[in-house]
Amino acid sequence: MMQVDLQHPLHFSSGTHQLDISLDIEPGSIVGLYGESGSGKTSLLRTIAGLLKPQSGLIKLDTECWLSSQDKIFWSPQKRSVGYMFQEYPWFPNLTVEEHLRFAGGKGRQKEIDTLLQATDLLRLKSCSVKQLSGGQQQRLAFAYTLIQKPKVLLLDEPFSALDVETRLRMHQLLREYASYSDYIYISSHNPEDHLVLTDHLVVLSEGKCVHVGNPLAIFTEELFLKSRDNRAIVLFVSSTTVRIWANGNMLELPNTKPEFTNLRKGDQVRLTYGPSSVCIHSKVE
Amino acid sequence: MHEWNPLWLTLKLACVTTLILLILGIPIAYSLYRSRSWAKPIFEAILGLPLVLPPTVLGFYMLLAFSPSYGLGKWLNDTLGIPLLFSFQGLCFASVIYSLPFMIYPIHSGLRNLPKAYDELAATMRKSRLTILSKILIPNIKPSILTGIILTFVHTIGEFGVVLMIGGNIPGKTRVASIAIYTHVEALQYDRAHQYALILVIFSFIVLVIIYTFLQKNLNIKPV
Repeated sequence: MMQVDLQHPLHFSSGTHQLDISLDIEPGSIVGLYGESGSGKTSLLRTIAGLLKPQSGLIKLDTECWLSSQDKIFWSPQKRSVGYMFQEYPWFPNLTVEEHLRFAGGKGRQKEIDTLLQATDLLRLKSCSVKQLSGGQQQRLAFAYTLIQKPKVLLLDEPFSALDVETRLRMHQLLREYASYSDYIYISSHNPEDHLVLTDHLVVLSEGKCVHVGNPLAIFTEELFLKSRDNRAIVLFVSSTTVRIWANGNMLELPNTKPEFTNLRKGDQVRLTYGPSSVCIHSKVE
Repeated sequence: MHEWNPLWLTLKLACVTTLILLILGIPIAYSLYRSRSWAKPIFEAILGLPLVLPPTVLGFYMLLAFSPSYGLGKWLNDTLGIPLLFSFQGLCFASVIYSLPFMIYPIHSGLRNLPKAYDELAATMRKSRLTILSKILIPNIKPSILTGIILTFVHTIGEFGVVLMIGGNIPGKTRVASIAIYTHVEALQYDRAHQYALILVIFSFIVLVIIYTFLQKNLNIKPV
């Protein structure tokens, strides 16, 4: 069981919010963190990693106490078994692609390094300096050097944001293969697809507070889509019977169910509703 | 051969001082970089004193501190048999103190300019402070270390005031090139002073050209 209870002020140009989060996570869980920028996702991950000392709080992992402001306990990142994939995926200029994995994973793991490089499509670039890689390749490298650590707690901050759809799906698969090595996995992502496909529990944050906790599918379909930008689509073509739209990288053809939809024009934005087995146009975005 | 002695001594002093400061400079600069102590500004001010004090002031206090009659000088003399006044060891000791900021400041500045994420990423990879320093931080501040080496070396070659007060002017023992030039000028032997001065100018120029060429070609950075 992982117990996380944190209070810390978050400072933004818009003002100060209080990060106030309390979570109890079962072992083997993949927890999704969803919320707007500045909602506290990265601060939560940095605190779990030991990179941020909160004003007050408690982090307990099974029998280990990583943080307790009451008992003045604060374990350094070195002491915690965490693997942290940073949002800006940093790298060391003096190391090659392969040396990053060797540095992160330790000696005597060459076979595993080659397997991970192959899986992330970086094998032919293993001797290159990281500055020669594209943004997507750098993100895959960061993913690989985080996975190879096989930590108890895996923290992934926007791990797939720079990847195309096909690569993203391959990285989902790779994460599933490595998931068993970690007891607790936290994924922060702006993309609902990552949460719907990968996570067991979704924590929705807003201004530092948990506003929804539960099943990702239920939260997304019932709570979030109608309010968020992620349910928007662009109209491509309208006829009296069908509306063709572009939604989340896919072209869909939906029945034109309402008379007012005949007034839609190419380029208009519409809001969708997602049911268990169907997608419908909800309304036009004005 | 006797004529070359001041130049040889100068070179030896510059090399020994630079080597000692390179060994001491990295841990001191790293401690400063890591420190969040309230006493850090005081420590930084002490390190920076040689930059602002006249060399004679430093030399005067070192003369007192190195005296074999009491304090550090007495202890070194009695315990280890190392006399600090009017000896080459004393010159090295004084040069290390005098040139300390020239090695520490560039390294400290190099460390501060590195992205914080290097340190954080390596820490989450559970690497010790020593591993982070040796495998990540030092390799990424090579230009700063090289700058520290150049400044320390060149500064030691041109040292005069402290050397004169601590080492005196003993031929073959403590008479470095700058002191030799001063001695010859005082004796109106301009020809001999000119020989030393010209050799120092040419030597310093060649050293700087070699270093700057190396910096530009290998590190692809602007010269200091």
